[in-house]
This record gives sequence, structure tokens and C-alpha cells, in this order.
Amino acid sequence: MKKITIMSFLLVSSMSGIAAEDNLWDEDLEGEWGEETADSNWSGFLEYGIGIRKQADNLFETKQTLNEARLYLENEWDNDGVSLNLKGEIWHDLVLSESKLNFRELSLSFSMGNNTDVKIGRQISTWGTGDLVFLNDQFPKDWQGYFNGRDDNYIKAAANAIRIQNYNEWADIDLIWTPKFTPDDYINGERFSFFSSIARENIGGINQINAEEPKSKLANGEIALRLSKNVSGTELSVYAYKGFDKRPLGATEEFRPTHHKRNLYGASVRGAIAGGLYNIEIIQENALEDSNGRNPLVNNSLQKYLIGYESEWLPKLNVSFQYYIERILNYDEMMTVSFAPEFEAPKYRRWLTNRIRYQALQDKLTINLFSFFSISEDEYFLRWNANYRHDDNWSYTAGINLIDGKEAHTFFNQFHLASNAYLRVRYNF
Amino acid sequence: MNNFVKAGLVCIGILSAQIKAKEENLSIEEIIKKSYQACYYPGDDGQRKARMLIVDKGGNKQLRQFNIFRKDVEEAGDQNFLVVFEKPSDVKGTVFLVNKHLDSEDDRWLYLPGLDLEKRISASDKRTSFVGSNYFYEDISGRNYKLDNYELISEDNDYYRVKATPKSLDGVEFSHFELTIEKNTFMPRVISYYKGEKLYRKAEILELKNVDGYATVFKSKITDFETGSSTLVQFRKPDYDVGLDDSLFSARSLRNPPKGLK
Repeated sequence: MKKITIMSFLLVSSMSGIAAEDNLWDEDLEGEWGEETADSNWSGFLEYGIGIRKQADNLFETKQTLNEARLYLENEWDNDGVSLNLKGEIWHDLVLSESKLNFRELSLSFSMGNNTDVKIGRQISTWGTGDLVFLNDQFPKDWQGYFNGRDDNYIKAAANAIRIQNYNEWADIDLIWTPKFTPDDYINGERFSFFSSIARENIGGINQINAEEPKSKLANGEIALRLSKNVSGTELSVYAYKGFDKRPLGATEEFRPTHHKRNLYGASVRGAIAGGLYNIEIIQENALEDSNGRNPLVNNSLQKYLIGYESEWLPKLNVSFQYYIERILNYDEMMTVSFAPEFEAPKYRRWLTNRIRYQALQDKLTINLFSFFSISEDEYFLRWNANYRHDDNWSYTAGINLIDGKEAHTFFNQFHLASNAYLRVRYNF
Repeated sequence: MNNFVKAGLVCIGILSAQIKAKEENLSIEEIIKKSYQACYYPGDDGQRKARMLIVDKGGNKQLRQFNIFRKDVEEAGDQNFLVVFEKPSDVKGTVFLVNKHLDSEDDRWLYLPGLDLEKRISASDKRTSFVGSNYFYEDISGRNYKLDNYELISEDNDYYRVKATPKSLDGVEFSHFELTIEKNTFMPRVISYYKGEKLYRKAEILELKNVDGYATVFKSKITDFETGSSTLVQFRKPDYDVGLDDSLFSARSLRNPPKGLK
């Protein structure tokens, strides 16, 4: 509670700063350009969002997927080449009836020598070329944010990590070490139900996943490495990751969900072609605790392939497509030992995604229609929204998350009762 | 700035005086090239702070504040731009990087700090709004002069008036534009964009000062008569031949942009 008071104080003080600044923008902007330093610059937003399910999920009392008020604040302090970065937020979530405090960033960053940048502490990391399809990006994600109507930024979650980026002639080296394994904020039954192949139906509400996480020791930390090079505008990258399944896709011998060891190797290419942009990305995921696929408790090794193209069809109308294939290795062995083969994923999962982005009214209105179509599992997920940025302060977003399919257990359709419409109002300051 | 560079600038001053004496004989291609050079290539590199005031038809105002860095790969040729946003809060920390190519498509990236995302942006949408303003991406990095045909309409003691017609109408919203180029600086004081006979968009330099021997815009305005909106820009702390490092215009600056000007 003490923290909340501090935050509110900071909010009030930063708002009074805004009022003074407005004077700079009287018709003439002359003479108001004093030395500005970033160190007294609090900024952030206040937001309220509400999301309602299209159809009730009987495992939950409320039809709401989102009903929360959030205060987000950020600031940066620089001293002698070292920056302290803070991005913090408090919110009250009426769906889960809880208040939370979280730091999306609380880090120190500095340069070592001429070519190395270091960031230590809580931070969000992203790499890879996919649009809402993640292959080599093994950094924590919040899958509730995928569905419940929060801003897109909330798809990514923070982790406590050390990031070292070295830039040199032959390649840029980007190393991210997360000493304590940080799983995704996966769908665990708390807000949305999911299909359980043991229960043979969706579970959630009272029944939630209580996963066993890897023991907190240095050997169980996550290491992610990227080497990248820009060759005349074509971006080439190779990746490696040592860690665990980011979601508890396996089970212990006592049938408790858990994260198994996983090493990943991948590559990507991104560049311009025919007035548009293409991206190609691949990854090999090795299930270290079940290299031949004969252990039904361990998620099998996989290969994933992605190819995408984005172009401008009309001014301010951008259209992109991605084709994604996920191939389960040792599929026959897996099916032989599976407890519920009828609910296993297909050997080749195939998705087509499409994004239509249109901006109008001098970019104040942005319409974003992202759609997943699963060819292999006959299901879809429409993630559509419209944002109206009224001015530098007020912004409104309305959208739908619509999921449907043929079978109850498939990747997206198990969440069909999570389908919702939402509205968010944000005040930036 | 060291004395050697200063001496060089004095030479440039003399040279431009000589050019002025001969200006009656300049071909249209030379006028355009000089104007392009004066506008987008002063010095080997440059930096400045910018503020935009965007006013819509209803009088609603928005603000953008950013630092802009430029370095020429070759004079009047390829060059690199880095734009680091400071305000408003929802775009703070956003970084825009352009590797501009005269003979091929530009490479462009946008860094979104909330997602730690290095987003590649396609080169085709050059004539779309730069961060919601009346400026287009192309107005920031310069429309490639090779894309248009030019014709000298008239000239007087102070100005050339030039009509530019795009070689291809693909990707442009205007049918032609007219430039009023100041003879002693070669700066385009007014650019009027037409759709047929109708003037629909006007860019004006409202305040020009000499900085280190280079004609430097301190205030400019773009008005869109179709939407009834306008954008006023003011520049501060312009500086040339700063000695900006090539690495400033690489992926490194997306995540670790310079704080303030160099």
C-alpha cells in the first residue's frame, strides 16, 4: 500500500509538470527551448479496460475476461554513463479480484568499451522475425494478454536477466542470460479454461495448473544467443537457446505438469523484395529428456518453419501473410505411447496468418485485423481491433478476439469460450 | 570545430559566392541538384532537435519532439538517418532508422520499446504520414530527385520557380509540384503540391538562418488543404560535421539510442 501512495504522488507531480509544458506550445514556440534533461521526466498512462465473453464459460462465475484499471509509470536516470530504467505499474484486476504491482523494467544499462552494451535487471527481450508467431523468441510471454483484450505490449512479459550486446565487424552478438528460469504466463485455468486430455474436457476455475518448475539453481538458468549481420539490408541471424519448455507441456511421473529441458537452434532472414518485406525463420527444438519420442510425459522434439511477406497495397493499407509449419519429430513413436492419441496434435501443424493494417484520419485511427487460420486443425482465431488516438493524451481501443473451430481439443479452439469483445480507454501523460 | 574545418567552411562560402555570380547559366538539372544538396546534404553529417505541432481541422493540437541525426555515405548519394523520439509519452523511446539508397529501396526500421521489437518497415510507403504529422517519411529523408522531371517556369532576381512532374505516378498522390528555390541559398522556400490544377498541399520554410556556413531551417510548415490540417516544425541546436560514427546508424542505436544530441 505504501508503494501505491508513492506511485500516486509521482503521478500527481508528473501531471503538474505537463501543465507547465503546455505553455511551450502557444502559437509561437520561440524561446522555450531550455536544456531539457530526462531525469525529471515521469511519463506513463492510466487505463481502464473491460472485456466480455461472447458466450459464458460455465467454469467461471463472470463473463468478463478483462475488467481492470492500471497506472503505468516510467522514468530513466542517467549518471556517468549508467542509466537506471524504470517501467512500473500497479493495477486492480476485478476479474481475479486482486491488486498487483509489477515492473516491466527495472534495470541498469551501460556500455563496456566501445562496442558492448550491457543491461542488467528486469527487462523485456524480443527477437525473431515472426508477427505474433514466435519461433526463436523464447523470452517470456503472457498468453492471457493474447486473448483477453489487453494492449499488444502485454503479450511480452519481463524477466530478470543480463543482456550483453557486442557489435563488431563480423557479426552482432546478443547474449541474454536469465539465471532463474522464467516461464510464460500461460493459460492455467485461472481466467480461461483449457482442454485437458486426461479429463477429456475443458478445465479451469477451481481446477488450475499447478506446475512443477525447474529447481532454482544456476544450472537451470536460461541462455539465449543470437548472432546477426546486416548484409546490404538483408538481416541474417542464427540463434541458440538452452533452457526448458516455456509452458508446462510435459508431466512428472506423478502426472504433475512440468517444464522439460529443451535446447533450440534456429536461423532467420529478413529483407526487402519487390517493394515489400519478406521473412523466413526456422528452428529445431530438441527435447533433451526424450530424444526418441518414446516418453509420453515429455513434449516431443519439433521443427518449426515460418515464411512471411508484407507489402503496402494502397497508401496506409498494409497487408501481410505468414505461413507456418510445426512438425513433430518421432511422431509414430509418440502416437504409440500416447495416453490419448486422439487428442494429440497433427504431425504437421499448418497455419496461415494474415494482418491487415489500415490507418486513416491522419493516422489517428488504426485498424488492425490479425487472423490465424489453422489449415491442419480447421480452426481460426481473429484478433481484430481499432484504435483511435484522439490526441497526445486520450486513446480508445475496441476489439474482438474470436476463436472457433471443429474439435474441442485443438490448439485455438480449446479457448473458444474465451472469445470476447473489449474496450479500453487510456490517458497518456 | 577545429580551424582546419573552419578554413574549409570559408572556402565553401567563397565558392557559393562564385556560384551565385554564374547562376544565370545554371541548367535546371544543376539547380535541382544544388537545391537537393543544400536541403539534405549540408556538411558530412548533422544533428538537431525538432518539435512538431500538429493541428487538425478542429484545432486539436498534438506534439512530437525528437532528435534527428544524419550522416552522408556519399555526397548527394546514399545517406543514413536516425530519429529518436522524446515526446509524447506513448512514442517516447521509439527509434526510426533509415539507410537511404538512391539507386535501390531504402532500408527502414522502427524500434518499439514497449515490446523490445525491431520492426522492419517496408520502403514503399514513403508518402505516408510521419508519426501522424503532415510530413511524409519522404519529406524527412528527401524525395529522390531522380524520380521527377523538371522544368524552369520562371526566375527573377531572387528565386527560381520550377515545376516537377513525377516520371511515374505509382506511389505518389500528386500530379506535379512547384518549387520556389531561393537563389542565394538554393533552399526550396515553398513547395506546392497539385492534384491536377488544384493546390492541395504546401510546404514552406518560415525561418532560415546561416549555421556554420549552411542555410539551416529553423521553422517550417506543411499545410494540407484537403484535410484542413497543418504541421509546424521548429528545429533547435543544429550542428554540422559533428563527426558522427557510422555505428550510430546501425541496429545498435535502435535499442541504445543516443540520449540527447551528441
